[in-house]
Amino acid sequence: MEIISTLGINGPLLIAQIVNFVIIAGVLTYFVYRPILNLIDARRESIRKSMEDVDRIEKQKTEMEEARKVEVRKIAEEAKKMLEQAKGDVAKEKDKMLVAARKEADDFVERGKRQLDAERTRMVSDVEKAASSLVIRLTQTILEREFTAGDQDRLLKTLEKSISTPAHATK
Amino acid sequence: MTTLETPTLASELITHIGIFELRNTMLMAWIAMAILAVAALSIRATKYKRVPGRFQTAAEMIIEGLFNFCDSILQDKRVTRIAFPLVATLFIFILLSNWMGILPGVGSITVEALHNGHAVRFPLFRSMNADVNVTLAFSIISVIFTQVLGVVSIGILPYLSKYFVAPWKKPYLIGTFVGILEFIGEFARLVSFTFRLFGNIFAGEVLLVVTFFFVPYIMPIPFLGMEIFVGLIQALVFAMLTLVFIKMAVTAHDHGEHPSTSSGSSRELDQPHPA
Repeated sequence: MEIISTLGINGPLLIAQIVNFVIIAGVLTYFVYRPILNLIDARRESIRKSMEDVDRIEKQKTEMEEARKVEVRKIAEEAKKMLEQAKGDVAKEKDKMLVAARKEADDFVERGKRQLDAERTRMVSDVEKAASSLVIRLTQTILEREFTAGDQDRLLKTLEKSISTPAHATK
Repeated sequence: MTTLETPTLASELITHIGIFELRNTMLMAWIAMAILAVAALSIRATKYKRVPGRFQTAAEMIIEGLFNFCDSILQDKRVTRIAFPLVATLFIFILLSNWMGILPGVGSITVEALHNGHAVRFPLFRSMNADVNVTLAFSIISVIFTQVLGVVSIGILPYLSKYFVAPWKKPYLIGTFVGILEFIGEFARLVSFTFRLFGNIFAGEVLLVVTFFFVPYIMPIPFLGMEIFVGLIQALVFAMLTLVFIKMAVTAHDHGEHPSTSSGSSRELDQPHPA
C-alpha cells in the first residue's frame, strides 16, 4: 500500500487517463486513421485497376497488331492476285489491240495501195490522153503543112484508131 | 542558496474538481489531447483529396509508415487493421507527451500550494509519462486489448490452453510449468510495460533537473537531445512490444505437435472480411 501511495497511484486518475486515451484514440481513428487508410486502400485499388487496364490494353494492342498483320497479309495476297490478274488481262488486251492495230494498219496499207494504183492508172490514162491529143495536134499541124485534106483525113483516122487502142494493150 | 529539488515519484495535486484530483500530469495529458485533436481536425479539414496537398501528404506518409510498420510485425492485414488504431495512438500519444516533457516551462513554471500545512511550490506542468498512473493506464489498455484480440482470434479454449496445459499431455509437466510461467508473464508484462516507460521518462526528468541545477548553460543541450531520442525510442518500444504481444496472442499454440503450422494465424480473423 505504501508503494502505491509513494508512486501516487490513484484509481480515479487511472480511470481518467484510460478514458483520455480512449477518447483520443477514438478521435484519431474517426478523423485520421480510418479516412487515410480508406483513401490509401482506394488509391491502391485504383492503381491496381489501372495496372490491370494497362495490361488489358497492352494485350488488346498485341491482339490488334496481330490481327492487323494478318489483315495486311491477306490484303497483300489479294492485291498480288489482283495485280497478276490485271497483268494477265492487260497482256490479253494488249495482244488484242496489237492484232486489231496490225489489221487496221494492213487494211490501211491495202487501201492506200489500191488508191495509189487507181491514181496511177488515172494519171497514166490522163497522160496518155494528153499525149495523144498533143500528138494529134502536132500531127495535124504537120499535116496541114505537108499533106492534102484527103491524106490528112486518112492519116488522122489511122492515127486515131492506133491511139484509141491503149499503149499497154499494144505490147 | 537554492536547493536541488528533484521531482517526486508521484505527480503533484493542483486542485480538486469535485472528488476528482486534478494533477499536473493530467493537465499535460489534456494539452497533448488538445494538440492531437486539433491536428486530427486540421487533417480532416483537407477533405482527403485524391490528389493530396503537402499537409495531407505528410499525414498520409506518417499513417502509412506506421501501418506498414505494424503490418511488418503482425504480417496479417486484417489483424493489423484492427490493432492499428490502438498501436498508432499509443505511439503518437507517448511520443508527443515525451517530447512535450522537455519543452521550456514544463517543470520550470511552478505554483504554490499547501501540503501538510506547509506552503510548497511544485511544477504546474509535468511530463505525462513521469506519472505511473499514465503509464499504468497505457499498459492496462495494451494488455487487455492483446488478451481480447487473442481470445477473439483463436477462441477462448485454445487461448487458455496456452497457459493451462494438462500434465498428462505432451510435453507433460514441462508444458504445465511453462504454461504457468506464461500466465504469470502476462501480469509481469503489465508491470514491465508500466515501469519501463515511467522509469525512463522519470529518470530523464531527474537527469535534466540535476544538469540544469549544476550547469545551467550549454551542458543540458546534449541531454535534451538525448531525451528527444529516448522519448522516440520509448514510444517505439511500447508500440512494438504491444505488436509483438498481439502477434503472440493471435497465434495458435500447437504444443509442438505440428511444427509446420505453428505460425498459423487467427481462426476467426482468417475468415473472409464482411463487406
